[in-house]
Amino acid sequence: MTATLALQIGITGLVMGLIYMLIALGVTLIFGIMRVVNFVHGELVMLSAFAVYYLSAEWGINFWLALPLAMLVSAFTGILCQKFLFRPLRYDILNCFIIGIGASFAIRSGSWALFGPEPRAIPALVPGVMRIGGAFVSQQRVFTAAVCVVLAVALFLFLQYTRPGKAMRAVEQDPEAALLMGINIENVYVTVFVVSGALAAVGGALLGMLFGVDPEMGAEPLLKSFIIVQIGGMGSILGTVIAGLFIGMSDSITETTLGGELAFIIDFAILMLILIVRPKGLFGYDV
Amino acid sequence: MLIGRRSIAGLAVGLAYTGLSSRAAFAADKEIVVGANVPMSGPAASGGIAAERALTHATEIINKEGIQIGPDRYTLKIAIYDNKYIPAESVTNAEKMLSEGIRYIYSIGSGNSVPIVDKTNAAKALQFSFASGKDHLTGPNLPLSFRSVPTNETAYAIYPWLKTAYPNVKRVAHVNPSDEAGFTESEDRRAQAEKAGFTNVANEYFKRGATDFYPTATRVLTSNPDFIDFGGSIGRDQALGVKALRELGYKGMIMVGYVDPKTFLEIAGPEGAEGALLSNTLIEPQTQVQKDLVDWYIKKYGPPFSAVLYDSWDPIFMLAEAMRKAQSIDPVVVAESLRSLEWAGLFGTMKYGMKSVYKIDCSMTRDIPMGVVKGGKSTYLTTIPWPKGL
Amino acid sequence: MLLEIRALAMEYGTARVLSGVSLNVAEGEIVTLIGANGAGKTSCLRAISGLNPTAAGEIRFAGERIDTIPPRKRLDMGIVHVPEGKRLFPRMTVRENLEIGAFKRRDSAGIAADREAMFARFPILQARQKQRAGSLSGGEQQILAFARGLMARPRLLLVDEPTVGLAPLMVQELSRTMRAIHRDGVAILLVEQNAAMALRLASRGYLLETGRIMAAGPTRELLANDYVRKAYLGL
Repeated sequence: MTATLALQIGITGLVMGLIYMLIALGVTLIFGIMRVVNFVHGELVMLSAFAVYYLSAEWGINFWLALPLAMLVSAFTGILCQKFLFRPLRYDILNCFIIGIGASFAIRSGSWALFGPEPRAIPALVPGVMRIGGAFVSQQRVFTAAVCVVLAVALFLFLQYTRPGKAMRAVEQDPEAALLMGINIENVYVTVFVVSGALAAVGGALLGMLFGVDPEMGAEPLLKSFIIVQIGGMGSILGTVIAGLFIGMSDSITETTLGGELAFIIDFAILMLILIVRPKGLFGYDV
Repeated sequence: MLIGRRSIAGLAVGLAYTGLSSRAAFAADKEIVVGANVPMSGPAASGGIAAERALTHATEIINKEGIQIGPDRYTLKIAIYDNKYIPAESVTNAEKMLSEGIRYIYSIGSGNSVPIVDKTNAAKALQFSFASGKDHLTGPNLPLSFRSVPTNETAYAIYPWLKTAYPNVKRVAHVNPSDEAGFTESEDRRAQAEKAGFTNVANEYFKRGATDFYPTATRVLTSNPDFIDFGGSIGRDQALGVKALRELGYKGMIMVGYVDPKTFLEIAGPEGAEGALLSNTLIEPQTQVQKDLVDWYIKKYGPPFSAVLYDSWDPIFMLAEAMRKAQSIDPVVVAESLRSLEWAGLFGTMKYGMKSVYKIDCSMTRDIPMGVVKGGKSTYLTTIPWPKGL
Repeated sequence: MLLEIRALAMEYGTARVLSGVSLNVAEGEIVTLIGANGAGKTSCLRAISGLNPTAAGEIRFAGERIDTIPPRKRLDMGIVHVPEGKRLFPRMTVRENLEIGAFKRRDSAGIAADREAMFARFPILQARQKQRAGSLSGGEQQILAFARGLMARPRLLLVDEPTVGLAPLMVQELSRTMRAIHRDGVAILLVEQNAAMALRLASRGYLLETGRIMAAGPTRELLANDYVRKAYLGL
């Protein structure tokens, strides 16, 4: 393997890892705090991408206005899921999992009927290609990677230093004790879905600019997210960041050197191995 | 307001197809049910939805006149069975259709058409498929199986043409999805390219619906090709593949197919798409029939028009015509009639042929329209005539 | 009366864990609830702080009925529950645990002052303020649990089994702490299995057995009661 090829693999993996991480953060946030595996997260990504597409590419609204609007739509859809799917099931992990799969398929099928068969694309914000050493990367990818890093740091600061962030951590670590501190758990759950939905919306817009928009676009990133969240340790933000980068890199290496089909097999092998050695994931703890 | 109307139409279609698939499709006295085993959801749903729209509209036109056989007037009715692009679902659909007495079956995707073809032929049902699949789907042992769109077979026409049109091209790489369609496409295209005098340098597969194509593109480029054929890839996948290749600095030629030109440009981006050959692709409606079809689509569903819809258009008309000619609705009789039918369709003269390859006339032959992306726009390039004696 | 409980009943599913419990705590008073494991002591505290619903009876605080309002509203009124098992936030620092104890308060200056007061009163917390709560020793965790509770400025502190698993020296230290809290004018309702310690600390006590109050009165009377001496003091 030449140095250029290695560099290319590294850059590709870094960017994809960061994108997967962004989607996975929304999943791990909800799981950590509510013990709910949100299968609908991928559909929030997809619906937001369509929202951004229609608002900006079709109706000519400025992207920087379209994005917050899409974040609102996604956050609102998230709240709907919380209120009408997961709360009636009392956040039971298995029931929520099953209803989530069902809802996800229903939303996807409905989207095919609603949006039609042709995939779309959100125009890139920063067109052009960069050359790093002998490797290439589109500037849009560099921009995307930067946004992912900024959002991960913002999420960390939010959880660490703000009042709603601290309330989330308290509920995550001990819901009953949080109740005794006067924290309104139902409000925290709503906030969690709002934050997760907003992250999904940014993810959708970024994915839509790089990879096009269609009803299936959320499926693969969500599957990767589950692997990442499992490897990182369900609910651990740091674990998600590290596992995201790890999976992005591992995918890039396998897909480039061995071929596309093997990536998922290798991902699952890594997951199996880690779960055997550390059943709670790299950074997991008792839940 | 366009969006609003499309949404309502979309919902209506959604409701209609769930209704259709759940309703038992028993034929009324003079109604012939054509079962459509197509993906309405999953990674290939775009093809299925386009087909459903084409078939429904085509039968509306056919039914205005009806199919007169002796004293009886027959109409066609489309019943949609969603196979989700999963072979197992497809087999279940076929069993359901056959048990419900359906004897005419349209099927999309080779992964979904190959596993059911033995069943449909054994049941003496006529199956016409928009699929690659070569001799797994066509042959003297499967007299009732027709392939209604030239897929991998376009390579028989395109590679000899390429040799004369672009004499500088030497090293060809093939990129295909890792499934039945991709494997057969790749196999045939490699064989035809070699026969035409090219060197095959790479033969890559990707997972259909994959998110990132940088790894696949990086891998292909290590073989240093000057022509990359996306073979059996469809829509978004190949647009993303092309975009990745260009971003990674590839300067050679690229050929795509099974793609809507507008969508391709939108996703691959103007720089990415520039110069790409659009094989077997009708860029702009040329004839009145084509224009009418596009107008009807835009009016009913709103833009963008889905060009794969063209491919699901003629075969159902040919089926109706074959019934009229044969004066029969018995699939065995209709099959023989279909085999000898010459039809003036969207792509000019269309006929089921290729006996020289498959030992039976059952694979669609017609001229191959070619387009190219030039100056950020897809434009008509040429029409490659179907090779004589094939 | 600060806290008045009348004919309280509680059920977990079909199992009745409390029936006909009546109990009072006056402003600034230490009252203890003693009894064997499973007698219903913890359930009683959970009903007062609102973690579990009641089945019958009523709970009044400062004259107002509170048994149907959510826990956070009871907290606003000054009812603070230091639960069994400490229930700290293990992956938050000592300092963060203190601050979250004051979650409902908006006076950031007052919160900071109270935090410094806790540090002054419990120097071990100041020394460990950047450490995760989960890394403290059992005794340190119990002190932090008290301090976290005090950060909400309680009028009534519900304390559940603070001495379980602690060394005798630490038990003494906690006794001193509770006396100090009491001197500040905070009423305490203390649930304990260590009846000897609890009865020495409190001015009145209730004896709970299988969900019913079996004896009640000033602690010196209970300490003199033969049944209590035999069953709970091992004398």
